[in-house]
Amino acid sequence: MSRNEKQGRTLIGKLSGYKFMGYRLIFIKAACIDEFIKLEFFLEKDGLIESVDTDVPKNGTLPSVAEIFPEGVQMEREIAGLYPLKFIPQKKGTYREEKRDDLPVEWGPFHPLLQEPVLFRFSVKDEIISKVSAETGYNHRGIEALCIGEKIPYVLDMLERISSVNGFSTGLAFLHAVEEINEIPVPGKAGLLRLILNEMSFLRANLYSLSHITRCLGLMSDNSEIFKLISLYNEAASLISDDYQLKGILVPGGLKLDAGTETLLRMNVILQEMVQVLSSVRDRWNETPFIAQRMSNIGKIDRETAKVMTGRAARSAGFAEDTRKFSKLPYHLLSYEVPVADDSNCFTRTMLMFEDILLSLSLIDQAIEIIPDGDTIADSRIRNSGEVLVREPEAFGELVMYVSLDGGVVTDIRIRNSSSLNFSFLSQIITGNEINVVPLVIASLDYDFSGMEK
Amino acid sequence: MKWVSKIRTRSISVFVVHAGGCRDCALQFSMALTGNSEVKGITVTGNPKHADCLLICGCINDKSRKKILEIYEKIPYPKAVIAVGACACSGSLFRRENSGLHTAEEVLPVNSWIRGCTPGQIEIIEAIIRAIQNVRESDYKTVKAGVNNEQE
Repeated sequence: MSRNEKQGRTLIGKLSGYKFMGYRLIFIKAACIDEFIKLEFFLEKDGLIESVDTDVPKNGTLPSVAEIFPEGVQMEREIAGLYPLKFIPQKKGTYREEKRDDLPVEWGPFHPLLQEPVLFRFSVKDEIISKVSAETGYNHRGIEALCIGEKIPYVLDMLERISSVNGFSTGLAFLHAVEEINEIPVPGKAGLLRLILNEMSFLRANLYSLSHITRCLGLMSDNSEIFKLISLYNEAASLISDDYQLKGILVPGGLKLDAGTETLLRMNVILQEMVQVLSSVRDRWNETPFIAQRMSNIGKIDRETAKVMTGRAARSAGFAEDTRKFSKLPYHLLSYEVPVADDSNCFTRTMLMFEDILLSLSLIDQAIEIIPDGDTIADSRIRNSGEVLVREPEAFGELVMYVSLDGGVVTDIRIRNSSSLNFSFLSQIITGNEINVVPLVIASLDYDFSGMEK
Repeated sequence: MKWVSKIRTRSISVFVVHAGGCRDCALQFSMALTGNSEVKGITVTGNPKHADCLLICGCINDKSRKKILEIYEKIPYPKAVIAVGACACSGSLFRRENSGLHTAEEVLPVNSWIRGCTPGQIEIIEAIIRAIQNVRESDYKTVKAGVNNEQE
């Protein structure tokens, strides 16, 4: 047995042990050092993070961890695309030849009902999908590589443009990492303002997701109703920033924004107008049998799969995953309850979307009430070197980011958003559904491909 | 607009290509269409054969470049190409030497550029209408010139 094989077996043994103890994989970090590729597997259970590492020579092979942690499939794909390393499936897969009576159908990569480019290849029998493969990469810009060796403001600018819906959360997670390494204190007012802006970005992301679902359902009047709410959001955001994506506000140690209480109250009044409209749309959808019937039987996720997913996919199956709990933002000052449902399907996930928007509005309202007076920026001197792993909430689940700094220069950055985890299960969720419901299923799963492909 | 062009005027079908980017330009475009009741006569199509105009948002990588060229070939004449946002026009922050990203102009003949990150909704709609008018006008002229030459 070669050294490489021995290492692989030891790794699988260790990871199986952690799986048995109830850990889940949250992140795989890879780095190329001399002639070796160093892999570090981060595992989490109840907020406790453990890591397992291994070295593989360049052009070497490593057994895939997909059998133990299926949530790692997409992360392995990304690493195999970046480094000269191959992941070998543990079980010899029973290669199923495409049956002759199955109809191959290609969909994508560009389509009005796809929010972002992905190429789907379906095998269809009697309108039912028997096999599916999804090809990504049409969105790749190499942001992680572009950030290395750059200064913090430049990296922040780039991360804020990683995704239109989660750009603010990504930038904020990076700043939290920078502040932790350099021990920069954030003033109380700035912390709460950041929380408000973060919730506003969730609000915007969820409203766009909801508008996409209404389009997939063909409910055009509801679609224009949701777009009116987005206009309302834009009106509120324009009171504090020129940019609806809230770009260019974040700086280490605080914010480049000093919104007074009056401005925040005016903004809150505009935002709270959404509550009534959203509640009425939600109630109408709940009472309309056509919508519930159409959506309840599609995009189902079993509890075992949902357990290792993140965001609404997990919460709709009854797992009260609180992504805000591990954030450095002062969420502990506010009272909130994470919305959950019993059965993960398209309908419950959509209903949770309404609940999430209402939760964001409630958190904004609470935060504005308790916002103190004071400065919004602290003296920040970036001198230290170090590395840190941060876990922050984003609109569709949990964002994990690894940052390594040397003074004011970024030496390494790795981003794993919620879609990197949830995308591994896409084929499994779509298989067995009718081909005409695929856009609706994808819309309800909240994929953010621009954040995933970077 | 000349009377001939007015007669030939019909609704504009747009094929939106979202290449590598944050997708905010595409969201602004859909917001401009759905959120504004004054905008009529512009529709989004999923079939390039029905399209009059190709709207490119985001930086173009090698993988999406091939697909964009395929789509462009399928769009019938007269056709317009519009580059929306800083990423499609110049590559924005992401374009460096050997980064493998292309601007829209490097891939296709672009008729109209809308700069800014993120461009405004009205600017996008205006650019589509102007680009289509210009393309149809020039196309009509070339067709007319061709007919006259044949008659001579």
